[in-house]
Amino acid sequence: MAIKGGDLTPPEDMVEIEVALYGRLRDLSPAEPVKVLAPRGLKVRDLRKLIAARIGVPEAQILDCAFSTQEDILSEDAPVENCREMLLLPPVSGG
Amino acid sequence: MSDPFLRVIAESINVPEVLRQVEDPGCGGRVFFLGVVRSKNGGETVEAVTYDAVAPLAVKVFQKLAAQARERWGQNLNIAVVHRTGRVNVGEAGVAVAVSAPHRRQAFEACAFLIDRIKVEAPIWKKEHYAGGPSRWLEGHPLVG
Repeated sequence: MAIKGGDLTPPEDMVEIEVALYGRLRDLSPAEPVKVLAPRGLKVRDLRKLIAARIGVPEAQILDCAFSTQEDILSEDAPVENCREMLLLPPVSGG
Repeated sequence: MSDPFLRVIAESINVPEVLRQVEDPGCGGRVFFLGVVRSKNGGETVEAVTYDAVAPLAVKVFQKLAAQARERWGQNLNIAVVHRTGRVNVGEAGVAVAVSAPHRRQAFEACAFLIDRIKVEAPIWKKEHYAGGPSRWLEGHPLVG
């Protein structure tokens, strides 16, 4: 990992993803959004493992959550480098 | 027929304003649903709820549902949906849905469809605050990615 201007810059084969947490997930992490380093080509579905490890919960606790942008639900099969800022959405309970 | 009035807001819901959005002299039926925070849930005494939401995505879901309602019950429906965010006390409104249509059955059915689908498709979450201090996020419906 190179150091550029005092910041850690991820290697070229990795991307930094910021993930904002909503609903019950807000209580899991005081630091928000969560930042994770993911290998290019990783699918969105596989981000759960990294996020769970980052916030210190079992992956099973976020298996029922969907990834999205501010305007669209993301496909589980999309590569993570297509979207550097994501939202993690637990099951909904509005109304 | 007007464009659907679709909002996610942090302020109190203005009921007359929501009703005004579906005024139409060609519509003989107007149905209005107001979801209000109730004081009891599962044996707990509720004092308030806090709504969390992804507002842009929620409005997009409202748009999709409004289009589906018009496809099913008629393009001449007028539709308004307003959902709260933030803390809402018992007795206050969390969501309002208004529909007007030429005939009452279209309006009833479309209004029921909209609130039913909003509860399972819109990215909105509810945390209940109970008497004595504890609070809990309510279980919900998974979104599909």
